[in-house]
Amino acid sequence: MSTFPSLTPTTRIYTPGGVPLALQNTVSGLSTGFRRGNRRINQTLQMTFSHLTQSDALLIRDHYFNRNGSYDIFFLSAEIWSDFATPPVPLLSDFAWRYTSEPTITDVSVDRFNVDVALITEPIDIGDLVFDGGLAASAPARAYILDAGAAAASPARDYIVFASGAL
Amino acid sequence: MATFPALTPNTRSLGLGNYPQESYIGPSGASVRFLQNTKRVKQMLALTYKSLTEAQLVLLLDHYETQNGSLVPFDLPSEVWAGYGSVPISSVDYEWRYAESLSVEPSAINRFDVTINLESVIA
Repeated sequence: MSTFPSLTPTTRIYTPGGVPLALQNTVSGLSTGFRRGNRRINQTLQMTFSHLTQSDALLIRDHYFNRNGSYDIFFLSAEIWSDFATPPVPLLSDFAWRYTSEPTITDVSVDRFNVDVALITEPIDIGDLVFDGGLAASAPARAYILDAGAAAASPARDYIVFASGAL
Repeated sequence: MATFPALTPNTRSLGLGNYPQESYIGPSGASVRFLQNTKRVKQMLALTYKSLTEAQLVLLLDHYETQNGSLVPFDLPSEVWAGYGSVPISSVDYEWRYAESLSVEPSAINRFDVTINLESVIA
């Protein structure tokens, strides 16, 4: 299960993060910044899903369990960014997402649940990402595969997001 | 192991915990994570009971006493999960224990509000 469930959140807070840097301050107040990487970090997305049915709430629960909590990465569905003409973070890009904290499921009514979700981006190398492994050539080797499909077992991949029928 | 009293809560909030893991983040922000178990820890269940009778309150207090507070884990009855078609946290894999002491407040004559916070334990 590589993609977050196709549910539109009720509230959504996106923070664009920043570049990794280290600032050195002198006693006179002057400062120098050192950039440590060329990829934005700490982009976060907090979402609230209100009055979900039980089946929809369990979709999020099952996705969280499938991703081993905050361990594995995934991509977002278009519904998450509904109202955006262009999502601030492209759906399939060199940024994947993972959970930063556990989702919380709260009962609000008969068979209705509120679910709070907090996510953070995980930079991945776009050159290492194959969107459809089933059609990908075996070379060059890619580290990440989204939807491995019938991809060959070799070369070995470091990270298959949705193994499907892959060996 | 005494099963939790068969009382349906008025409010219920479930935190899904996380899988135990170690994470190392480099100066560039790149990270490596190591998964250390396939069972979740720190799943939290917050229950609130409103306007319980004294007899119902005693059931909860006696259970808390029987479990030696937060020491001994226990199973939850289906009444605690009322409203769910299927129990969201498997009782085969997880038991529960008290995360902290119960909170009891009088709400009316001979009626009590009780707040309970539970934490999952790998069975």
